[in-house]
Amino acid sequence: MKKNKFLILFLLLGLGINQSCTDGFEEANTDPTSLTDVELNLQLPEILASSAFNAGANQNRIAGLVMQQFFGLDAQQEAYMRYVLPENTVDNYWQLGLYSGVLRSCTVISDKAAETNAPFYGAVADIVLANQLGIATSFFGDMPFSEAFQGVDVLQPRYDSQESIYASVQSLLDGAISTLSGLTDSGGYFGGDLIYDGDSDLWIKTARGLKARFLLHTVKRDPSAAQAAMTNASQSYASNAENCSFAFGLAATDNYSLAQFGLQRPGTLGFNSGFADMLADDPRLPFYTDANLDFFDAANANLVWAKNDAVIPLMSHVEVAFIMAELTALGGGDATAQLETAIRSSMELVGVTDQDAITAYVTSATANVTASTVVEEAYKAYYGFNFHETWSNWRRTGSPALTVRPDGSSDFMSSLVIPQRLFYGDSESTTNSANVEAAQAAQGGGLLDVPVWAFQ
Amino acid sequence: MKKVFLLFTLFFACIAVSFGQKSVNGVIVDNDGLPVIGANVLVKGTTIGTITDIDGSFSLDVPQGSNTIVVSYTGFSTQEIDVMSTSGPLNLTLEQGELLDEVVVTAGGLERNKSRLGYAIQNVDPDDLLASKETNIVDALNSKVAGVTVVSSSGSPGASSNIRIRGSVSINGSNSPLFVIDGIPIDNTSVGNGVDGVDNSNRAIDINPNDIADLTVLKGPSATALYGVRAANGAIIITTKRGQAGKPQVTITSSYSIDQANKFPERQSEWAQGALSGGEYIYRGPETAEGDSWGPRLSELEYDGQPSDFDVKGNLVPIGSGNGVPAEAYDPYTFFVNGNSYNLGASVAGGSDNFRYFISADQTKNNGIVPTSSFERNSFRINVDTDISDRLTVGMNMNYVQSGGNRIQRGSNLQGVMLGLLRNPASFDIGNGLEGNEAADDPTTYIRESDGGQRSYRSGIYDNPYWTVNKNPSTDDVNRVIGSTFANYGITDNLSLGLRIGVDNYTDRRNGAIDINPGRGVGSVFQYTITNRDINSDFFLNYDNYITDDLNVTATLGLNNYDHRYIAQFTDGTTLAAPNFYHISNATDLISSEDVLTKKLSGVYATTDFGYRNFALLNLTVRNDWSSILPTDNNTFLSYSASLGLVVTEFLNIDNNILDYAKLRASYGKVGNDGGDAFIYASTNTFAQAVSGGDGFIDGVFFPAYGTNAFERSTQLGNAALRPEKTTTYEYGAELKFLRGRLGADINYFTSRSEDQIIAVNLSAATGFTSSVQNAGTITNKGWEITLSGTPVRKKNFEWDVDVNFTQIENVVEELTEGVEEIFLAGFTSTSVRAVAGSPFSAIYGTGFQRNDDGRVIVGADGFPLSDPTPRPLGDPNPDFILGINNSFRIGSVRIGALLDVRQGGDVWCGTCGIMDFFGTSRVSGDQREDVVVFDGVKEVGSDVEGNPIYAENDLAVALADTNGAEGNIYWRRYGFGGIGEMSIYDASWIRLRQVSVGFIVPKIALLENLNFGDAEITLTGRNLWLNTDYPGVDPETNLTGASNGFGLDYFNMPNTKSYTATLKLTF
Repeated sequence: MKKNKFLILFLLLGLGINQSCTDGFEEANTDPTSLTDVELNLQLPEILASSAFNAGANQNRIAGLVMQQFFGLDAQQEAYMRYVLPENTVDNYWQLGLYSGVLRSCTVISDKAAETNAPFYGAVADIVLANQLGIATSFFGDMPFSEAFQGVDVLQPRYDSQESIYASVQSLLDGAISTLSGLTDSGGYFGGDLIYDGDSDLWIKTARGLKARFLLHTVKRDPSAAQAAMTNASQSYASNAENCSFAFGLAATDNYSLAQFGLQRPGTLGFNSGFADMLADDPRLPFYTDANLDFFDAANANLVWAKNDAVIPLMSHVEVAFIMAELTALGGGDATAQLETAIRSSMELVGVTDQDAITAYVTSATANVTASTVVEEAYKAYYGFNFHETWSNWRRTGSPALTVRPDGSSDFMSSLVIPQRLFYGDSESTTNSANVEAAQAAQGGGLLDVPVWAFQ
Repeated sequence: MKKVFLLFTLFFACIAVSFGQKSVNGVIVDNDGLPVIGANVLVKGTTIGTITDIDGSFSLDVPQGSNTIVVSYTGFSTQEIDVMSTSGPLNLTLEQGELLDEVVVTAGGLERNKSRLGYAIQNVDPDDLLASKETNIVDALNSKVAGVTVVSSSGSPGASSNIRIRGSVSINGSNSPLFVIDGIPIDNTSVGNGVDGVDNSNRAIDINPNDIADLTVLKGPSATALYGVRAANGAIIITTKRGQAGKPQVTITSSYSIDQANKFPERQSEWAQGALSGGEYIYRGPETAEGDSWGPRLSELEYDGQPSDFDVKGNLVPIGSGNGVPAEAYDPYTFFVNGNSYNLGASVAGGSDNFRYFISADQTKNNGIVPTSSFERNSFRINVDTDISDRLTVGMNMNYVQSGGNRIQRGSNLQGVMLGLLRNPASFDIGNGLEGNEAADDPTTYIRESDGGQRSYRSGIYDNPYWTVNKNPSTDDVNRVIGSTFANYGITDNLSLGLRIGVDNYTDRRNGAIDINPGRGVGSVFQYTITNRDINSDFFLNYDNYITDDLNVTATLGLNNYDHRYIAQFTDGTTLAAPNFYHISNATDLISSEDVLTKKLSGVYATTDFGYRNFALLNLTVRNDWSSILPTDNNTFLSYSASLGLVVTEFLNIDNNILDYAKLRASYGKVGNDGGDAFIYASTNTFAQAVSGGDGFIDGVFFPAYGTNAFERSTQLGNAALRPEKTTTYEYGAELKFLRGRLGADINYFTSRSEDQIIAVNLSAATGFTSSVQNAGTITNKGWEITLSGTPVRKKNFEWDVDVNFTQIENVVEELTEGVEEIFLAGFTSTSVRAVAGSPFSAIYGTGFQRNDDGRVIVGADGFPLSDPTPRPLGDPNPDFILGINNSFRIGSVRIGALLDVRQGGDVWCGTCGIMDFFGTSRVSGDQREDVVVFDGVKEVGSDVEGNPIYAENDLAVALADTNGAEGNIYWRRYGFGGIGEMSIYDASWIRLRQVSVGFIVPKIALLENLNFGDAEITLTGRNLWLNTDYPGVDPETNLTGASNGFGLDYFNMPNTKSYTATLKLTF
């Protein structure tokens, strides 16, 4: 009897504890720390922050280095300055700053906006997508787009020609303008627009400005783009107050990327002394650097482009004005007044308040206006937030005249020149090799001295 | 804590003296009348025992209630003697020839006679584990088991160690074997150990080696099939000590060690801080905050004698312009101090007829070779079992462990000790006139007196190591309980039921800070709490019977459940308000996050052994698992194995003086796997809190920010079509004994093939995802595991035993998925280790030189080799073979052991070396600075008709550092920071004296005799005393990323250590 009692107890215990095979499995395999669906107002902030963050991130610091506005003091920055820019240099940007970063989020938002009938979000996402894609193509040339963002359906997306990427950029912007112009109400807006808080008109002006930016990129290939760019630019911002500006914060977790770099990678990147010499009589100089040629100093709030809470325009009145000035000069017109507007707009954006100094500078800078002088002035005005346009301008126009570094590395070029492009991230050569090789072949091998299609 | 231990120890001592016993002594000889030295004499059924001395004599106190002693010796038949029926000295002759049956613990805690297994299994003598004097049980296994590779990540106290049985099989899942203690699988994860931060522990470090009674290594799927998926990488089966009926047996162990760094990278001491400028080596001192050691020769500088923040002797000025005191070349390695470790362990074991106990307490404390670094472990254990009735035995094991320490910043980390130390120029004294602990305790070594900023050669850009040990603390505190209850019920004599429920529960609280670095860093503080809870339960039925006189059948049928929950809560605060205050309340901005991982596994298993006579053994095992990780409709998988053993000597009745014993065995096993914890939640797409990043140099923007929260879609593509992966293993072996047991060999060959691997496959980011979990990839392992043991000399006063463990494993990533050539395992964007199709696992991957079709380096027109923009595999960190040779000598009553460890082949990327070369602090960049060389390679001399380049042998002489040029003309700088990966790949072969020991029994002295003490044994041990390697960095047994799947990376890793230990062991 006693024996049976133990046996029964044993069986009950044993089977009780080990009763079932798959109870609670589904719950165990559901992540309590993430969501499966997110509202649009909680997705939009990320693409805006990421776009502004990109303006001071690695790829744009490299643009600043090769354009001789920064100086590589040490470590990787020193190598980048000497054009040591192998495939792994900007792979982080390619993967997480671009395709699986802001570009991915834009497409996710766009799809959800279509599903939930919230056209405002879709249009804004398309504008951001167009801008980030357009900047990226200026770095890389051909890019995956028409087959991109399809997940498991297309695991190895083909590269589109740069010509068709620029066409896609324009069509995304046209679509967004058309959507936003047609809105009779808020377009389903319910928050999350950290830049304009749902103001469709200002997003339309932004799209116009961006259309002008990327039409200017292709002006060497398509002379008719000049007129279209001028038309769009003229429909864009009337002043810096309308800029598509993102305001970073003071918390260490939400600072502008240039400020983060200055703090987290001290002693590796400095302000280029040649650029400082160029700005010797420019009232913007103390807003860009200090006597030690630091681009960043936590204690110096004057350094507007590297302060923690920098306000970064994704598109600005400054640029619109420079575009119009250059187009006018290119068309043979007198761009003096437009260049003055552009320079004054830049002074205002940077925060120069000494009107006498501004006037003195403008007088001297506008003495003999040509397309080149406009671009040279843009070179000074775009520092800090618009490095990509500085590099694009130089590749398109050759202005300002820069000398190749004699100690530059030609390992990644056929002959030593200031780089004309960036290599694709090395993740592409290991996950999408056939397509990336085809793209390189289609672009004359794609070494760093081969200009991208638009700037050839 | 020390006081508690003292009380505890005294308590045991008191128990010991209060019991009566009978004393037995005698002499043991062999057939020739020669004394048998070192024979085991044990009280039957207990751990009480002694060994015979040089005269073959022994003396043993047999506790009341015991009346049989067992005398055994390898190569001789075992004898049992009833001591109650004898009086006076025992004179015993041991018969040669009969081989001792070795009993091993196999899967499920089943005890099996080793001669009746059809698969490879290896026991490690617990004394050998203890003799290694390693805190971490994983390190104690190094070089002791064929087929097992151990790589410790560094010599930091409590650093993790990486253990692999038969190589790596999984790309993202765990490759670590399952650790099982008393039938309960325990956690051996290591959290942390990235490329930066501190060295964190693997959790097997919580095991107290003094508690171990038996350790068995199960290597292949036939051995581990009973444990199912969790033992897919083999298993380490540990049985802890238990009490036996009889008088309490008390053991007290105490040891003390001194630790020193065993190898440093070589530095130059000729050139000062400075830079090449305008064709000259210009001195650029610490006030410039510049990092290079490309300045003038120290012999061209002297001090100016002026008060200086940077040197007690003044500032450096050109010779002739100062006070004539010549510039000194400082040695920053004086930063390292003698570490020390002590261990105090006490245990008591005993019991009555139906109640048995084992109680232990153990304290280990290591103070590392870096000032302030430490690791401490306190372990308490109670194992009890009681017979409730003739048929029912229940018991409980409880182990409480507290462990943790002060960790040191290392790796790719501006706060890292080695980073700040190895980049430091020879002209700068990090200790400001002081060294080691004295310098660490004096703030004037690391704080500038003039302005309170950090005193370092780069003005705090890299922390002065003395700053970092004071200002950047990192601690962990683990509180862990491993407990189990079990019951065995004998239904009949042949049939029994077992129930075992165990829990492994720990919290790991980590706190750390980076203090405010004036003018540089705003400071940060973090707190990190990990709670891990595993519940494991088994319910099984055992059957053991002779069906006929010739056929024995044993069988086990069981159910198993496993429930895992891991929660990590992280709060990171930045911008500290006050210096020297390392609490979360001091932070201005906070980020919090939480990871929750849950997993459930259920299994049903059956195993059966058929033994025919004494020569044939067939084992069949089958197990079915259900895993919550896999999609619900495809979450079950079957594992099975069969093994056959044939004792040829018995079967063919071979009986001669040469071959004593020969067994052949073969086994086949197929094991399913769910891919492991890395794939929890991998079947769906999710959205997580947003981060704007993608820079690579900086942290990025973390939401919530700007007054709003935000989410973004995960970069991992969910896959609802995952299916279990499977590994198939074939194994063939032979176990041979010759010359009456004087020579033995165990030879094993295995091949395994892991298919349908669940892998986070890298995707082209253009898909919108960077990875996707897929069934993809095949990895094969094949190798030889050979164990040889021999006794070359056995004389009255001298015996020499040799044990050899040889491991040779070929580990190949056969294929990944379509379009995917490689998968990142660990490391940096520039140089990493990856699984590359067609290459060995963990191939070192990065930028190399351009090579022509013949594999020759292509040299450019300026005489320097050209670098290739496309990264590729550069090296293989897997050794060709590893060999452990353990010699033990007994001279009289003195035992001497020496474990030699040979590792042939295997590369390590010395990222440290590349950076030291870049900054000009390495020996090579100093010695060769003015050399002119012709690089080995070819140069392009034209092209053929098809436009292909024509190459000729390179003959371009080029200065390694051309003073007239700029950066691009210095070989170590022209390719960028740290050079390219290929420049820093080195062969890491070594020969080392891993362990050497001398032990002797102390003659009983009067005082001890009065206290009724038993044996006192003193052992002196040296660990890692000699190392021969061509590797230029620290000890090449190192790994930047600890116990992760990637190995072969060294980037400012902490040095390894050698140690000298004295141990006293008392038993009574």
